[in-house]
Amino acid sequence: MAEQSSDPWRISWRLVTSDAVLVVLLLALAVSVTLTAWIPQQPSSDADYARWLSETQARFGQATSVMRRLGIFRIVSSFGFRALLALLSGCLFLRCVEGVDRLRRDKGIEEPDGAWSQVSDSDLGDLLTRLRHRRYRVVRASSFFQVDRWPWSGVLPLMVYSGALLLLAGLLLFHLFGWRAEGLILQGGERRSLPGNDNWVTLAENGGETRHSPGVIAFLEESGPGVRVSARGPDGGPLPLLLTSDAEPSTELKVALTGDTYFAIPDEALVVRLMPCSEEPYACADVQIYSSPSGEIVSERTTDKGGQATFDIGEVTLTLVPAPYARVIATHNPGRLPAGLGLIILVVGLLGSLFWSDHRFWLREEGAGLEASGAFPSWLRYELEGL
Amino acid sequence: MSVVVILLGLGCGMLLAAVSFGLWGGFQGVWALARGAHIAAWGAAGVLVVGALLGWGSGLPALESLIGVVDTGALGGPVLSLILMAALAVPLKMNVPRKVLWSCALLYVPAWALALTALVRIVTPGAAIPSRDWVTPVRFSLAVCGGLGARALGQSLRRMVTGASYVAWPGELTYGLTTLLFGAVTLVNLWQRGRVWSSADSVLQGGIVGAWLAWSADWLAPRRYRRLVALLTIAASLLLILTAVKPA
Repeated sequence: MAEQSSDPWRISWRLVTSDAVLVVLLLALAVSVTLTAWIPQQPSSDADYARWLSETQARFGQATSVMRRLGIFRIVSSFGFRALLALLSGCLFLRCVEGVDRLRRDKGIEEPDGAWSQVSDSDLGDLLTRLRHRRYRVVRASSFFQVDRWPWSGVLPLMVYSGALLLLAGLLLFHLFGWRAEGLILQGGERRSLPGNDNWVTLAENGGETRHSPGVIAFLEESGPGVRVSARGPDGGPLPLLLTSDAEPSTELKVALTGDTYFAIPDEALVVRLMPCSEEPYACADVQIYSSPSGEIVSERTTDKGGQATFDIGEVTLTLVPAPYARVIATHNPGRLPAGLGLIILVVGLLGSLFWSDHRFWLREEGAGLEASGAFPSWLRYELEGL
Repeated sequence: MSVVVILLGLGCGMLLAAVSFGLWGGFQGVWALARGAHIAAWGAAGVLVVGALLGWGSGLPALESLIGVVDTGALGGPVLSLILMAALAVPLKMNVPRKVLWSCALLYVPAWALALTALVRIVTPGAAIPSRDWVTPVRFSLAVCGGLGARALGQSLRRMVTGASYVAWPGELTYGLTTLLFGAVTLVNLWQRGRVWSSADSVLQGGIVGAWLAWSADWLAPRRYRRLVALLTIAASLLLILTAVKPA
């Protein structure tokens, strides 16, 4: 006996599969995840990084650099967090193995593990019938009855562990083989290539939906008005347009009207200002055309719905055609199905375990009354006292 | 002044009376005072429930006729959650042994603290989140979980201080509902965005997942360490409440 209890493997097994270790792991993960809600995490897209950095420095001041070095702004992708997830997976796996063994062991009858105590003067047969109606398993032994919820008392915890393992496996699959592209701005029929072989995403003509290659999930974050702009000179030929001073000139511009937007027609010394009337995808736009460098307004008008308009400024013809934009997140997640399945199994197992506990108790008739041993439910005690 | 603010003030006052009567009756050994405390708490719960329904209802487009009655400008988003949580945090049954009768006051402390915080937020100047942006199914569910968690917090406070046995169902129900909420939010994310974790909603999601993990730890903790488990329940409840009022 003494030799069994000092077996280091048995001690290690009991430690790793103990509730205390799982509680500590869950608490450590809870603290880490909760920190992400209170401390703004570094965005993955470069477009948002500059704004995030300035907001964070304004909020935390000189502590920002220290916090960055400690990895507090990248908790979910940090080594420590991933190590916690790995330890949790190992713990759950071992508990799963132990759960299967326990399910097998609990099938039979065991001797009561505590003292017998009087609980009621009720009839044992009636009580056992009521317990069976409440989905308890009642097993008859030589001088007592064993009452429990086998097999569900063993199956439900197994569902919890296996569901959680599936969920974690889904997360791992995404981390290893998945990808995500954020902040994609799509306009009018434009097809954007995505990572991986032959993956693409495009915006439908109505501007409200996306089309994509199989295996890609495209989520439309926001949509709004946009226009396709072109200009023709006195000779009828296309004029180059400049969106920014350092951009390459282009004969056609696609402009997403997320706010006031300017572009120039350098050959004709004109600057055009576009202001959306609203955030609807087919909203009109207020257009002002200035001459450069005087800044004099040479033309000013509101376009038709969607941004459709034609401006004649001297011998220059400026044409605006509706091209609503959409900001899209594209994801490829090979772990989506296991994660979803694992989540459903986990939730069902947890809710079942909450309401169907793994307590076991024993009943016997002693004299004129009933005696019980083990984890006799308090609700049953109240019921019997009320009768 | 807004109807909801009046109801909130009334509820807060009645809860303060409940706490005071509970302590006074407990220390004096007068059972009638403890009963009076419970009746005051019942009244506060009723008043706060009406206030919460008016406040949350005014954020629904279908109930726009209420906007004339309820001054939504005074009610920022977190205030709505605080009022609902305070209403749900009031225990409706009192089973307290006579020798620790004063401890019944601890059951009303979380509800009173939530109601008082809501009042303070209303009178404190600052930018309020419009209620129409706050009234969403996720926020409402979080507030319900937070309210039940606050009820479990009261039970655990009493257990911490007196070591007495406590009613387990508020904690179990809180955990069950939080699990459902966590599962639903994560499944919707998986379906819509293809990922378990969404960077767009990371604040709310981080709070929900963190609270769920904390409640999971509480549920698993060995029950024989009564005060430790009570402390864990208090921490998990506070986390859930903070998540319910934190803006995105």
